[in-house]
Amino acid sequence: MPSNDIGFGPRRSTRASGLVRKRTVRSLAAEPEAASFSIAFGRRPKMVAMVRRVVADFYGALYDEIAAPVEQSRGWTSQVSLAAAELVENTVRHGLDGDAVFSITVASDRDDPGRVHVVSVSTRNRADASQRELVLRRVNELRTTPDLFAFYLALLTESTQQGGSSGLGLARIRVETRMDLHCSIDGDELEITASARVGPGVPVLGPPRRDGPERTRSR
Amino acid sequence: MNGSTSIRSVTAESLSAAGAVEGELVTVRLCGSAELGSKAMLDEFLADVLVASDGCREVVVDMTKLEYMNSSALKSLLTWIVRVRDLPELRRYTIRILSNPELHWQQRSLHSLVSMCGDVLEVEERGEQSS
Repeated sequence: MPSNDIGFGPRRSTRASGLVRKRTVRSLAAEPEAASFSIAFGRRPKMVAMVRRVVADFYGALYDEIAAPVEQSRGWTSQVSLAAAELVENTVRHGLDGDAVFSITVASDRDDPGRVHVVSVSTRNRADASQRELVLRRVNELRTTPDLFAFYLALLTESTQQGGSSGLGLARIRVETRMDLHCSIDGDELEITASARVGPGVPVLGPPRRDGPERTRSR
Repeated sequence: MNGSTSIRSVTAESLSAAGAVEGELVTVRLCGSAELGSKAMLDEFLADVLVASDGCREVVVDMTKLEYMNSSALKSLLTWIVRVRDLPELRRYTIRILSNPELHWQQRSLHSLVSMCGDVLEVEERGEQSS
């Protein structure tokens, strides 16, 4: 089992047994506000909860720094920590050898630098061919389906009719947090990234709404 | 009615679940965090709830102290709700989930469940319960 490997900074090299990776995060000189954090870990289920809390703390502090209103900050923090937890859990469940690298990155938005940031969470792990294909197909479906919410409801229905893992994690990220999903494959390594824009005037998006009676009330 | 049936309280990893039957009302409380490793326990607990709630009018599920639920636990919850929805009409009952508006994931996740099972499920936003 590899020891956990944590690092900060614009340039990062991580090593976990069975997974060697050199990675360059965007240059700080080019993007003064860029920041990154990454951790390499083995097949440890408790990492999921730990990562979720670390991500919530990290982004909570960031949103404080950009003086986001409390409700907006809570919404964004909740979204990104949910995405992180689902991604990390997938590596623990489906990774080929259990080793994985989790990264979070903050960068200035190209269209509105200084005011708006792009926050990303990503995982990279070895996966077998069927898992790589499954993830690639699901991410493509989630990026292209004309009715995202109907697609999600169909997946939810399907999940109740079969055993095993839910198969809902990526869809939940895309639908419930509205973060963009990107997937890349390099040999047997699979990298999945969820990203979102945050900043003044950027709303906290929830799931797409459907017309009809809303059976939610406040007391 | 199944007023004497009890629901076994369970704890797994960081999740605890408890329930009680009081006449035609069943109350369930989920606390902590439903993450990797808690699905089997949650499945078992909700199967107990399904049996104990036979003949009841309403099941109230207090999630105001449920910090987080992963997609596997969400699937468990939905599977139970669908089972209730699929009961014969005379045995079907309402499920009312008490949610915490400060836990944003709840609003988003429960919205999907209501969209699917709005005929038996409603969500009521509450602050954290004191006891």
